[in-house]
Amino acid sequence: VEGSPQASDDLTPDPVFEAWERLFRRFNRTHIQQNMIRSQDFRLRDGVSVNREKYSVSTDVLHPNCCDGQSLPGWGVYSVKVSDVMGLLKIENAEDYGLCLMHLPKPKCRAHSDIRVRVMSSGLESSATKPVREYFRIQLSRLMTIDLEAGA
Amino acid sequence: MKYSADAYLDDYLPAFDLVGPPISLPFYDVAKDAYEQVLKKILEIKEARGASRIIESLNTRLTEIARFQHNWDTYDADPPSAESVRLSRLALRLAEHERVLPNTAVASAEGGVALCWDSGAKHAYVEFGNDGTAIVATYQGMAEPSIQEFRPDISFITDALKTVHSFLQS
Repeated sequence: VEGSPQASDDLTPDPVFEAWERLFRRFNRTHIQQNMIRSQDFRLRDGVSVNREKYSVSTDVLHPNCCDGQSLPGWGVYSVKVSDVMGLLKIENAEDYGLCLMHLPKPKCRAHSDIRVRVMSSGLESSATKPVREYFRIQLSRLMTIDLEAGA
Repeated sequence: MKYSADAYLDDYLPAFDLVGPPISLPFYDVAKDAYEQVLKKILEIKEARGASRIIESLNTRLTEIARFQHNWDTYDADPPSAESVRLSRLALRLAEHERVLPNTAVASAEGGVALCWDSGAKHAYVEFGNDGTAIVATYQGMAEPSIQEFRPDISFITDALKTVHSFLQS
């Protein structure tokens, strides 16, 4: 797609996430604390939107094609490794929860994907309880590293 | 010239922090007790004035957050509900009473508002969701976080703030 070398019109999901891949997100400076992303930046209820590295570079997450046409000067980028996301587990009420990744390409943003909560035993996505989601939000905030600082 | 109490404090408080009582040795013990009482009172006044400034700044922040529109995070987040903002203001008043003022307030991408405390490696927050839920979470370094859901009324909010207070003091 013009103006976005990593994008493509191919909407076929690629379900294989490589362990080395990074998952990118944009942020503004209200959601950092001592160089760490606040857990309030994540919405696990529906899925945390990210751009996957296999189909993008970090700054593509700020490209208007991946921001519904918006231009976002001053926003930063942070990321987490796939292997770190997949290593998170939480046992609650005798149920094992983890995170899963779904590739959900958008017409101008092939890299678009979601991080979601799932029940480990069945592999199914789950609408986990608030404390379980909160646990994963905190753990994600600890794993994220800042690739591009947000401006004032 | 007449001094206002505020101008007096601004001019003289810094000096009080730095110098001891100007008294000679024979009367030192007596003067020291009186001096310490005065100093304690001054520090209380300073703390109260600092707290008022923090509360004012956090209330301003909550007013800004209350104006957030849909997609404020560019990832389709809902704006905080009026009720989550009201509960945050209530929690702020209670936090003043409990002497555990948050460092900041932020909108939550899950929908709602969170009051946040950061002290070195220790982090805590109380989050009021648009869905009527409330959470208190505390965590330090990479240790396992403690997360509790509670009913957002005065009694339970006070308990949540006490949880934050003892965590930060521990």
